[in-house]
Amino acid sequence: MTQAFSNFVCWKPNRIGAVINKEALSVDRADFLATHVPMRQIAYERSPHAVASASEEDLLAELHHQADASQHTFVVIKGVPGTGKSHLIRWLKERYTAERPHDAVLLIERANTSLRGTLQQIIHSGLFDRAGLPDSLQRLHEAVTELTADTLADNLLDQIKTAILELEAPELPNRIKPEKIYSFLLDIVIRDQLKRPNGPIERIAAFLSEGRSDNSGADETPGFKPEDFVFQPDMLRKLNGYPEVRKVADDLQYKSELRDALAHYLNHLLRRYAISRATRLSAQDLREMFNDLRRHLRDLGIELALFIEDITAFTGIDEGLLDVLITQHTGEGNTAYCRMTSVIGVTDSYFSDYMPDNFKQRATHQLTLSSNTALGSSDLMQDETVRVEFAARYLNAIRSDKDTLKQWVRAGASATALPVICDSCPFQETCFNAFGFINITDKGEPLRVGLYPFNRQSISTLYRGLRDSYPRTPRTYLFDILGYVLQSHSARIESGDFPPPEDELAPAVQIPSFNPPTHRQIVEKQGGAAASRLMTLLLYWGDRSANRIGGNLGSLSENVFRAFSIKVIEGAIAETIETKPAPVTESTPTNPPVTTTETNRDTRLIDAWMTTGKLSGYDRFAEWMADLVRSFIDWQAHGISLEQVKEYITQGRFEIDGQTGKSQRTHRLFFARTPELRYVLQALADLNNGENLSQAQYGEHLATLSTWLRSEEERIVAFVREPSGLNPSADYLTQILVRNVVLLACLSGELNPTDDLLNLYHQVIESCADKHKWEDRVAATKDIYPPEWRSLMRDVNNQSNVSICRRSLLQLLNRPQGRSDAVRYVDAAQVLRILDDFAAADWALPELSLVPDTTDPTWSAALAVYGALRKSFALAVTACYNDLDSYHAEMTSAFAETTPNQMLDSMQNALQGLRTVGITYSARLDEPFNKDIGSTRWTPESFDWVLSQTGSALQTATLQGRALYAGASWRTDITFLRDRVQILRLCEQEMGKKAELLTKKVDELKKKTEAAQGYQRAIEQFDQVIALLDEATRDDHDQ
Amino acid sequence: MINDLALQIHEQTQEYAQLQQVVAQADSVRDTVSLLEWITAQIGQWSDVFIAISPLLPPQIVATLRGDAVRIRRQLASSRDEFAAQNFQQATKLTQLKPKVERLLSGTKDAWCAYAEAHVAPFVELTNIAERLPKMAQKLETIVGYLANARKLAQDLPPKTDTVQQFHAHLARLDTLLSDLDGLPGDVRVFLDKLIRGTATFADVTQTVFDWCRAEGLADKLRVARF
Repeated sequence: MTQAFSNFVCWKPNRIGAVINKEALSVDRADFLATHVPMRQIAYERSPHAVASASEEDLLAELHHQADASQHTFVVIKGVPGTGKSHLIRWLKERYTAERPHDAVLLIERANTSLRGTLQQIIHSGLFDRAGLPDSLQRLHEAVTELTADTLADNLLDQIKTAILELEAPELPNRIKPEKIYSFLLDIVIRDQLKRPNGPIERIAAFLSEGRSDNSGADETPGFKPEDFVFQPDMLRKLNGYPEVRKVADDLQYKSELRDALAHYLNHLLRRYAISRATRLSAQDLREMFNDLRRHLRDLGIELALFIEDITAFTGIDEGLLDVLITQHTGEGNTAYCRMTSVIGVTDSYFSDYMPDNFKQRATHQLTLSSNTALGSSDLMQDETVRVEFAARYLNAIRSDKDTLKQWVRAGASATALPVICDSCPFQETCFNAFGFINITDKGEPLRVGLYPFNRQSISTLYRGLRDSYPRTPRTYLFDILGYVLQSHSARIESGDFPPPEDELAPAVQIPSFNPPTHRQIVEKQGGAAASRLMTLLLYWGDRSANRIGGNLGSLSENVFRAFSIKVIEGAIAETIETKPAPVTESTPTNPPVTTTETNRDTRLIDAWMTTGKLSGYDRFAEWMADLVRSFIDWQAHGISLEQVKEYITQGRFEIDGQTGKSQRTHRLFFARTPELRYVLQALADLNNGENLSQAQYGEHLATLSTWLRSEEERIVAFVREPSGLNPSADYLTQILVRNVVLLACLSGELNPTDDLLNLYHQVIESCADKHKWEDRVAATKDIYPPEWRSLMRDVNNQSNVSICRRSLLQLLNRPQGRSDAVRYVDAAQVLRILDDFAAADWALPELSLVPDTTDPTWSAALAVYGALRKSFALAVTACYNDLDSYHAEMTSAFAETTPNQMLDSMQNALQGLRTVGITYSARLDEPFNKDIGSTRWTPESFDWVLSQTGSALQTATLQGRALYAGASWRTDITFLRDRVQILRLCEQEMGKKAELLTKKVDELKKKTEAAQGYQRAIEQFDQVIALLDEATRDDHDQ
Repeated sequence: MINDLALQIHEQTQEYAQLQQVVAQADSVRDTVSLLEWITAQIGQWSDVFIAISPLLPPQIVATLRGDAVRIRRQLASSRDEFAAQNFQQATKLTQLKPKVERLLSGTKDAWCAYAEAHVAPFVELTNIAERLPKMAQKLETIVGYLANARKLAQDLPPKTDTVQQFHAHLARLDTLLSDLDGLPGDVRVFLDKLIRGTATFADVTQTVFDWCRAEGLADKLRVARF
């Protein structure tokens, strides 16, 4: 019989959809009871007394306890969508109805998520017929009629508009004040936009009248959404009416907070006013109807029990319903009502956003099915046993035909009597051994239900692997995992194509990785055509490895492979792992070996890359690849310098197909997404993360890397050698560099003028080995060379280009003798030839015929320096000569009418005179005569000599001659001339000023000498008065 | 250019050095000149006047004044010699000389005033008589004017020699104008004189006086008063 357990479908595909239904209340009662998994994780947030246990049986007992004590009961069951609220409420209703047959029980389903359907349920329940309340029924019928009317959309819109006037407005931004929104809703273009297909009004009207056929968004609260107010430009252009309408519409486009506020405001109007007005069924009507009903039931001695799947179904009149539910049967004015038990399901969002606080506080019991786990998760599903039981019960129900289950229900639906199809299966033993089973009862005879086509591991892997966007709830588990796999792939089982490739099994689930990752390659190699199915099986059903231990592969027995018609491969022989036979029990598969987080992370990234095409964390992988390539390729053998390797074999230049970031490098080496590269990346990750790999794994990895390197070496070498794709002549770069370094040496003053090429060559090579910092050389030209010269010196050394050029030239000219690169054997002939050509061209720098578009440092430096020299070298030399010419002319002019000797004498006498009369002058004027300053002491002979030499230099016509002079003797001569000319200028300037000063001072003194002239006057006065006295005292006057 | 400037500066500095030396003594010279100017002005005025009036003054007074002037001259000559020998600090000495000059001038003035007053006095008496004589009435204003001018010039040292001449011209003119009174009888002159002083008595009214009074129309203009 074992051989026959292959491609076996033991369930009825048409039963899958019937049994696995999102709406618990849409499931047939027999299926519902057969698949019911007891709730064990109900958390009480509020209760009238301490409730110890948290199971559904305890909750039912609590309802009975309340009823027996004639206590009013209002139970609110919270939970995120899909956590099983409806399931629990239906189970409670079933049990409550069965155990309290005299109570009037009303179950209100979500019923296609429409208010009309909800009202129709109330009409059809017969409660009001039985109670003889024709007015109430009439109002319900009228409401249903209104909800069916074609004018519902317009009516809703008008009622919202009216609500703006009727309701007190909440705080709103100025741009959407109520009066503006009123005009906004009057505009025909806006109204059409809101009523458009799939627009907000249609959506709300549909909720009220029809619901949605696919139950999508069943848990959503109907209303406006912010995105409803994002309008297309052509629609905005049609707004030609009120300017303020256009303004509101425009504002909404640019401010999301306005859209949020408007949606919130309109929902407020909708829920508080518009829906009840549109249906002509107010909260007050609903309250009166139920109060009439309760009075009637009280008269009959009947108690009322309401089980409401989702309060959202009453949106618009929900406050009226809640008011009914909190109204007790005791207290003043209420004693005429019957006692009432009510249980309602609410989503967490409704509870927090819409349920008024006074209603919350008056709930007698407040429970939640999602209290202890992350947001959007079910408490119940945290238990792996529950998940397995869920799978087993649903699998059993799907395997069972409907009649069998109905018969079981009719027989009392005893849990211990549930029909189990596996009991009659001819492959039970083989199936249980291979896929496992579970006993779904703890009472009486065991009910063993097989997990085929799943096993515990696959159930666990699938649930744990749910993507973050999926809530971890029973609904997701049933629909997106169990239901999806069975619905989508049942036919594959029968045809022998199950399981599908890993990315097709269940889209809601992230694809797991092999552990160790290298096993993917093993499976791929050994699996042949079935490799992809084999991978899926090992990844989900197995332990995510290809370890072959005994007869098991990836902890799966051969029967598992046989069941899906997959040939068992040899796998990886796990020598160090003790072989254990797979037990035929409920035990879980062998746990996978512990691995590091880093490995898992890298492997996940690689797997995601292969699946999605996007590679995150690519920089690590590229770095590892670069390290590998850099160290494994014999670059010297390819004639590639270490500089080039350093430049091109880098993470930034290695671009992996699909990497999430983009390198800024112009030249990159692209590596396509291939299975081979996947294994290379995996090998690099494992080896670099220091994994405790087996010898075999090392061997596999190294073989992978070796093979890949061999295949890629030629491409990589070509890239490093010629990244730009151009093909210059062999000595093209050398020619550029030689010219560069000659002119650089000239610029830095390292060349002595010579006509001997060999001498020039020696000087140039010596300059290449120069250890001085270029910056120091630049600094040494300060205050000596003209700005053009100094600017050029700075420009050429951008990015340290000078040293790169010099170093690179030596490398290019070097003819290595052995492995050492410290000793150089320079190819002088090549340089001399280039120097000869360069000299013949009078050091002219022609435009380059080829300019590679590269960021290679050597090329970049060579081109940049060449460009700078070509642009500015001749100009810099000219600037030097201009200075020289200027100073030479000025000095010559100074000696035009005198000799140096005469001029120096005159200057010295003048300075002596100034000192004598106490007139100060610049100390520099004494420099020429200062014996302590040595070389700056002026001698008539030095003037003659320098003027002669500079005059001769100025006669030089060639750029080379001028440049050599400018780089060498110019410095001394210009310093001599400039110093003297500057002092002469200073002397002339100061002496001019001193002459003016002296003139002024002499004049002043002369003014003061009027008193001195008084000397003469005094003498004259003396003489005059004496003469007068002499005249007066002569004796002859008496006669 | 530089050479020319250097040469120019060399010359300027030499001139400047010399000027600096002179300027250093300028204040003393200026003070000396200032004092000399004052002395010169005073002596200048004095010498002309002294030459003009010395013949008019008493010889002993003239001798005294001349002696003072000779001493002043001697001191000035000494100071001048020192000054000429670059000792410009003569201001002190000249300042000490100032009171002597002033005394010389005041002594000369006093001598002049004594001389002048003595010569003016007779004309004063005659004028008083003339004021009482109707026939002199027409000349009286002129007489009084000359007399006032002469008396004014007699009160201060003449600023110049012309003033002395002017003084004597005034006296000469008075003499002419009062010449009519020169022929009065003695009795009349005594009587008029006493009459002016208020001491005339009947005893002084002689027949001559009586007749002269009747002739001059003074009979009804003179009253007899009891002491």
